[in-house]
Amino acid sequence: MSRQPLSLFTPQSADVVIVGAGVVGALVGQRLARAGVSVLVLEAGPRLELWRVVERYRDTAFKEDDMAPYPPTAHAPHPQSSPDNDYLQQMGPEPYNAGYIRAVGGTTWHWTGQAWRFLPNDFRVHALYGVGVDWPVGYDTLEPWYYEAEVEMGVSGPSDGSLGSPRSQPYPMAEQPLSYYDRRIKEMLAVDGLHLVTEPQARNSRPYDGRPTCCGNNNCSPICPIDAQFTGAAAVRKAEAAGAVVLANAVVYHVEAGAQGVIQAVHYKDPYGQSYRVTGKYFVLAANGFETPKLMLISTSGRHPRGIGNSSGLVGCNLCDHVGTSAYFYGKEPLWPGRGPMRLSCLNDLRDGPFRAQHAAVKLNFSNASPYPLVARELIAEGYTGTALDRRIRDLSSRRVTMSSFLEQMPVRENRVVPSATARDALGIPKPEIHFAIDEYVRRGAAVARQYFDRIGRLMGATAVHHGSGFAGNNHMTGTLTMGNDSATSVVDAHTRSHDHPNLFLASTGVMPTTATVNSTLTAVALGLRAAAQIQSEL
Amino acid sequence: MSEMRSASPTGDPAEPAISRRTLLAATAALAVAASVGALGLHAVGADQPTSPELDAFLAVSRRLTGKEVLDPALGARLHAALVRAHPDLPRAVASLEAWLAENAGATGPALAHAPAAERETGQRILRGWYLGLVGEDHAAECVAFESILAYQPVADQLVMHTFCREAPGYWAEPPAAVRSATA
Repeated sequence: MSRQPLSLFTPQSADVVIVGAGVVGALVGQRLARAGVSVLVLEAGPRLELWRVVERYRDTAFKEDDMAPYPPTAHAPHPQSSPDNDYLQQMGPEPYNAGYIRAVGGTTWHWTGQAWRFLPNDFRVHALYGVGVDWPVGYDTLEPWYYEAEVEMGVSGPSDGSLGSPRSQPYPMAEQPLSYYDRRIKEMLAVDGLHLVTEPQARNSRPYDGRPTCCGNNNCSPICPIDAQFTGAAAVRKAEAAGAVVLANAVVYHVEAGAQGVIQAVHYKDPYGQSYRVTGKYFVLAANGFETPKLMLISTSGRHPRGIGNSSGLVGCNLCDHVGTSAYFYGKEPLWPGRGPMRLSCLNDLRDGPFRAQHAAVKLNFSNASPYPLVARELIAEGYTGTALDRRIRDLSSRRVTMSSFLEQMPVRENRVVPSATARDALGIPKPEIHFAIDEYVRRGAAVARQYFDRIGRLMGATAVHHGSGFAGNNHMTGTLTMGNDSATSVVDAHTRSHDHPNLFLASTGVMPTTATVNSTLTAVALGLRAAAQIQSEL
Repeated sequence: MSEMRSASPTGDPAEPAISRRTLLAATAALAVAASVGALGLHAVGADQPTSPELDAFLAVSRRLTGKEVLDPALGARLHAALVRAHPDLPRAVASLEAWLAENAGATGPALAHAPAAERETGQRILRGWYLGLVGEDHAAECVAFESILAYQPVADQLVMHTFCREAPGYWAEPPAAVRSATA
């Protein structure tokens, strides 16, 4: 039985109740609060302090694990791999090791700020190439919302058309200058007709929105120590400044629907297990592509035995990510990666084309992360000591070129997240159970990426290209709340409103029907802002 | 409304305050980074604890790293952590010292030619000095960050992760090593 919140200062109701204080939920909250709407944001996890995260990073033995500086709480656990906390229940056949953060600010505490728009063709892959599904909205509809998202997030990028996504206005900030390393790669690849572009990124190239200019601390992920990179935590500050109330450690575990499917309330538990009920006129679920479907699926009732918003049976299904591969080599020239932000450029040639009928499209990224710890570790393992070790660290660190691919995975119903029937967290809430397979479409794309890794290595004078084994996830969880015009084949409509509940909107990467080749945050924010405007127009 | 606080206390475990060590080390690293060409060696303190085992560990460390001067505070911390993880370290250090003395002229990946036990001991010690890491897998422990030796060979070209020492956009220019090589 839920109580009303006890504190006089804790609202029991708001015009709009948002579940999840990540980048999307916070910017939805900000937009509505600015318009004078009362907004309450319920966040399962705690508040984090930037300096503490930086210190945790410096102190951890697991510097390559982006989750290490973000230890999970007992009441709102999230995946942890060093050591594994057994949160995600992996049912295979492939593991899907998502690394999301349940905290005020959400997972963009540890992103690299890549803030991409889709290509116009990305919204129509079924019509054009006979694969995946088409979106119920097109690029032109989304363009103004992309721009609003770029302004709110503070995106710097090239406005010269090189990225392939038409713009009505230039980026809010000029692009980050390429590092010497990225620029030389660009020059060497251009000789063979390959096109490297500067990535658009939510990272300041000038002081912006109260945050400083990036000065190249080379630690974008797991934490930008100076706040030059936009995060959900900055979004939360903006939302609170606009008047939204953000309640941390409020773990929503039930969404309550009334007659005609109207959502009446959400119920949350505090860390001690006490339940509270919060009512509202509109509800926005913005708890990422895993926790949102999980919450909907555990919100069962007599009226909604399959959970909230799940008349289609598709909540949690169609899980897609950018399945990733990687490679590195030592080029001929010392280029000194590690100067500036951790990622600045990518190959823009494999993101679209008729080949998408046959294999996954690819974004091929160049890492500008400083490699010296990794190089030292490898050399010590090889047996180097003393001055030979130091000489090799310097030489190899100056010449290492590291690449990764994002492969577009197409939606398959069987790839899904469901609440575990057996595994529960400390509050008794089911843990997410993941079913995940990687199909031949992606594997053929990986083979193409591999050819390009080798070709780039040859162009840069490498004697050997070292290919990573297996596939990596990239925490871009899409498809699990898929958007469409047909309520039988999708969870939300073109405004991300639930087909089943007139006052329920979903704001998450999960609503994206396909994942294209680019990082998903900007698109999720653009869709969220559009949903916020729709809610505002109805209040 | 904006003054509202969380309805419940955080479930986070108590956090240690930032340590004096961390502050001192960060300050030292920044000071070092600011001085051109410096290699980040901390001043040798006169009040460090000592013992025959620690002395032997520091001696073999000097031989392994090829450095005459090593930070004694880090050395003591590293030694203590290694002994915790590997109680037989003093014996292993002695046999590694003997092998290194016999193979002083080895070039290239010298430890690749050592017997497994000596190689493992040497790599453990180097991993401590160069990466600040002791222990394996999930028992791994971080004993150093700003003072790791892996940074020294690149300190004149690259910032240490999380630190900043030049103006925004500096990275567009060729690095000093490239400029001097082509000058």
